[in-house]
Amino acid sequence: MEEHKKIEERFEALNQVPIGMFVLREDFVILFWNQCIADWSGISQEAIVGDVIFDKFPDLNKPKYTSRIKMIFEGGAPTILSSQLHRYIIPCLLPDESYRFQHTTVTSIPANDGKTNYALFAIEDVTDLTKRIRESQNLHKMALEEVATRKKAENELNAAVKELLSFSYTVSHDLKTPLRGILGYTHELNKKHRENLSERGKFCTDQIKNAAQNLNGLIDELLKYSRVGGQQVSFTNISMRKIIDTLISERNQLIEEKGVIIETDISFDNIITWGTGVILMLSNIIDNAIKYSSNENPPIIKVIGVEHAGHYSLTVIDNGIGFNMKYQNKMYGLFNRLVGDHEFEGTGAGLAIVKKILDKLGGKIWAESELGKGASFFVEIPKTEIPIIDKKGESN
Amino acid sequence: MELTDMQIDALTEIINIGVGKAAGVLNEMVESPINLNVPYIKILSREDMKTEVKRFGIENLSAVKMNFKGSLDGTSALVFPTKSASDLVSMLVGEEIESDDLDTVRSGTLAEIGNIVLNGVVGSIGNLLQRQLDYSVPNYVEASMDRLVFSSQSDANFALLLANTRFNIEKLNISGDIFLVFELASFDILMGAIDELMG
Repeated sequence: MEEHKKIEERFEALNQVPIGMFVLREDFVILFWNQCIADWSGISQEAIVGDVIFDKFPDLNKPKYTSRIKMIFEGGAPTILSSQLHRYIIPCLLPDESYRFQHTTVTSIPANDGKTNYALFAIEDVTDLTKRIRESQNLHKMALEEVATRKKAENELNAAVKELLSFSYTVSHDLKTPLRGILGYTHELNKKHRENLSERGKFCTDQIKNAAQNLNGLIDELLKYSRVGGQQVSFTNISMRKIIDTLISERNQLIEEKGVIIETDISFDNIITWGTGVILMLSNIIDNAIKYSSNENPPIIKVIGVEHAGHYSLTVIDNGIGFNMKYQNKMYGLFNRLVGDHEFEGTGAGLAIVKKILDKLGGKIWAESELGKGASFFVEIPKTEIPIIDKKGESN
Repeated sequence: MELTDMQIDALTEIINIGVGKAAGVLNEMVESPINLNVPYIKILSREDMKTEVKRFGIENLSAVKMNFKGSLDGTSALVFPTKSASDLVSMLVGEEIESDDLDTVRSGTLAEIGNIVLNGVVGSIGNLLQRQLDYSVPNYVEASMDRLVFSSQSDANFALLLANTRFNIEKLNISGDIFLVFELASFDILMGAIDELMG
């Protein structure tokens, strides 16, 4: 009794700390049990002080604990019992039926007899901390899984698009063979046997020829569209002024025939971009401008280029038939046309190809127009900082 | 301070006994048993120590430090490159290695692992000296080597003992190096005890 009283006096202050604490004598008898650990464990000081700890907590009577605690009684260095390796030393139930996570430090303190040592256990409750860390780890894990799922979906989508493009390329290519037969035999029929045909027969032959030529044009455009989709964007140095001049001079015959006036005003010249894509894109837009303004007197086309902070803009303005703005999104769909074939020839693939090129390049296209009042097409080509590797392998 | 080959051998043996004991304690509680041994030790000046650490090209270090005083004054530290510290914790507790970060819970685990290793070695030395030492509570820190080892004692004459410690986890076929660093006010007492032991 005397010893318990002295112990109680010596450790009284530890009842005030919010850390679970208890003291063991070298025979593993509990000498002190503070208020905090009593509250956590639901075992009062009166009910446990004087007992051998293994009677209440048999799990502690394992070499992994006893060998280390014995060192403490011999005056050895402090021992840490971490929450991850032991979860808890003294089982303390929480309202949700789970146990408190505990980080325990055991230190050697001189016994009251001045010869031996006691083991002082200090238990920190790390339940909240552990749960929060686990939550944050779970969130991190979920985020990584989400990224992986998206990446997988993106790869699958890319593969599907690639397969589709390759499929449409193959189909278009394969369709050309029988079509060549139809066109060949229609040509022979027209040239060698036309006089033997009735009027109706001649009409039917002409219709077959026109339809086959039309189909041929559609397949060509589809092939072009597929090729653009499958092409790798490769950056080169190009001269925008030279490209536009070349595109115009290639169309000289048509321009002179229709009396088209073309004005250009390009404020920049050498840029790094996807050269082949940009040439194909501009040729489609300029062809459209010539085609849809060809009935005007005179047809006037302006090509304006301006450099901006992050991009180059190109605007192609014509004074042609224009279009109703409510159909503007429809224009970029493959084989979608806003005019009838009898008015202007075409397949409806041109702007779809332009859109595909700009999508691949990370650029933009939009248009402004009013029926009968011409149209303006605006294109944005992003600036790139990707260095161009020349054939010697040097970047410039 | 110059030590004879025999003294170095004896000290290496004493430290090996300590880490061997530590491995025994560790293996009672971890998922994947670990072997620890000290192939060599070096007695270094502070400058030598800096060069030695630079040789390993390690910048971010994690350490478990424990000071002791009494008949022998000094600091002991188990030093890991932060990444191996994190990997070691994951392997020992059977967790997936998801990040190199050591959160508070995992650094608590590392503190226990370091504590076991340091106690093993310091216990061996204490047994040799047959004197009781007073110890601080082990502390987990992350810093550069300079700050880890040299900040606690201002006396430039303190000697440093570097024990290269190899760990090997057979189950996972993984091995690596950690360092045990002792900064001692004097080797005289330690060497005196060793000489006495060797007769």
